[in-house]
Amino acid sequence: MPIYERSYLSWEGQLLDKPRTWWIIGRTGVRLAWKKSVALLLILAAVPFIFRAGQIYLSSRMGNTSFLAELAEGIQIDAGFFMSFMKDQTFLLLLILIVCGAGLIANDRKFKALPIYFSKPVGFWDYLIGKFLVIVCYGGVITVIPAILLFIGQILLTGTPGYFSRYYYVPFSILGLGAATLVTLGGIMLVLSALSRGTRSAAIIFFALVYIPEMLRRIFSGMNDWGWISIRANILQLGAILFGLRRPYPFPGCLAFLSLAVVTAACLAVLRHQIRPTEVVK
Amino acid sequence: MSIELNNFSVTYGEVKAVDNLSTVFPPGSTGLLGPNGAGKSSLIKGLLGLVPDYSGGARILGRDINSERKQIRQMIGYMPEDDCLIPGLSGVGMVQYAGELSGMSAADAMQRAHEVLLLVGLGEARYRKVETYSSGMKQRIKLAQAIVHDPRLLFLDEPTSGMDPQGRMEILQLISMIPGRSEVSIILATHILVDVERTCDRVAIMNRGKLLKEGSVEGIKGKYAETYSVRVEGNRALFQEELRKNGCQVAADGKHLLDVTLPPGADTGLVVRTAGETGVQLRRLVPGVQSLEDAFIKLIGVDEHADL
Ligand SMILES: Nc1ncnc2c1ncn2[C@@H]1O[C@H](COP(=O)(O)OP(=O)(O)OP(=O)(O)O)[C@@H](O)[C@H]1O
Ligand SMILES: [Mg+2]
Repeated sequence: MPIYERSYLSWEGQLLDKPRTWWIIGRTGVRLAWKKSVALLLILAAVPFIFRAGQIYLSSRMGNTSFLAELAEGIQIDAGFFMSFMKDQTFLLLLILIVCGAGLIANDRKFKALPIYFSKPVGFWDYLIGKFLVIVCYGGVITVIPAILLFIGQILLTGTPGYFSRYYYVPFSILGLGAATLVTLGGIMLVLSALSRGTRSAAIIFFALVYIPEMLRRIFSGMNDWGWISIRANILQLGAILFGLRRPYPFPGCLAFLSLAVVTAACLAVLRHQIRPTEVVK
Repeated sequence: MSIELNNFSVTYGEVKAVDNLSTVFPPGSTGLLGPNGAGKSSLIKGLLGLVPDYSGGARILGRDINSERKQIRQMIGYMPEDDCLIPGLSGVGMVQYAGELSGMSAADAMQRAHEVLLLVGLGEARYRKVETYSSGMKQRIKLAQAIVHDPRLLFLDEPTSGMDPQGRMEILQLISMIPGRSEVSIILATHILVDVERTCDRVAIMNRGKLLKEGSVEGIKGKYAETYSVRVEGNRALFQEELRKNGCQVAADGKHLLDVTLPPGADTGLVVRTAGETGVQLRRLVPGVQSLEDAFIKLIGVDEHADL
């Protein structure tokens, strides 16, 4: 490996004044997180979307032929339709967060990339937002984006201004629920990634954190209003409020919001502590 | 001034790794020399804000390290001492990424990444995943990511560790070439004296978080040059014996030359007087060629004593 007979040349160009490093980190992260299993999950996630799109199509053509009318009977394309689509995507969302998210910080820690990042004009928030963008990208592509596409499809197919003026808030509800879901679940995934070194343990703990409180909630809900201990219940409760639906659980909606906010704050605190270029060894 | 320190300290819990340093590093290349655990890496990390706990003030290239950290990080390049890599990327990918993070456009960063990879000798390996690199190659890619954006100040922490002799020579040659071509200052932390002698014009010697000495490499070598090369005509054996009696260490170097090391506190007058007393003619009396190593060992030795 000879060093070529070249000399060090200075670079004449101009550096950007304030590089958007979070964007560069996010973009590169999305590219690096792409794998076959992600593609598979995206294909799986397309199935419910196609099914719902079919329902929208059928219901818009209802009455045209008796056969289609029969099939589409009982389908109400209302706010609840979009909410239940998002709810159904949750399991795939968890899977895709594990596949794309478990390595996000774990790999950087394993290969000691943090001193390199933080010797560039990258701050804690740039790094964190960059990594979170990866979660937003792959999480959004199976939740928020198809939900919005379904809504647009419904508007185009019904073609009546009445529908839009009645459900104009649905896109915002989709965005709100998507944001709440991705921030809390994504935050937990990033914490697990920052704490662990293996994908498998991160996956197990992730499912445990989401489903064990849910199981506890089911056990205890007979006696008490313990719903807010379950992240999943909180997300559904918040979703119902955002979509203007009947609340599925008896505990107050603000408690759901508060509970998710506390989880997020706790995640941030852990991340703040873990994302450091030098660890002090005691 | 490339770096100004003002009561700058770095602590890890109880350990004070850098202890209240106040000094100035002028532009140019400075070797930060010290034994293991001296605090060299901690000083660099502290200046870049990479350690959780530091105190005191410092300015790098005229900017304050607390309030203008991102601007500083844009103007410097840092080659860490550990094997730090960005996993998942190829050699070019990683260096381009580093360039973009520093504020280069994607196209510029890509072009420059190829240039610096050729320069550090990773031309053939540049499309391989960085995780597959050998330690020497990791050193080279770390150097490449530090210089891709043409920084004005380079912090190199043990740049030659883990390299074969040939690779070490090449890297040192490259490092010594950098300041000449453009106005880049270098801070080179190492415990290998030869590396400093070969690449730096100034040296700062550290031990236990303190700065023991700093100045030009020549100056520090000279100050501790108490060994002289002496040639006499006449009764050489008698002269040698007399010198030994006076507390000098004498070693015959070849046929004519004597290497005379003076006892502490003595000066060359002792040699002149001894020559007069023994009736030999003094033909030559010059400071012996002495390496920085001797100066270094003396300094560290003094420091260890001071601590007892
Ligand atoms: N992450 C850490 N946590 C706790 N103590 C540390 C840490 N890093 C360094 N130290 C301590 O700080 C002191 C200075 O270490 P530092 O790594 O700066 O030395 P150095 O001069 O770079 O040595 P070397 O030549 O071995 O690289 C040492 O006593 C070391 O034990
Ligand atoms: Mg070190």
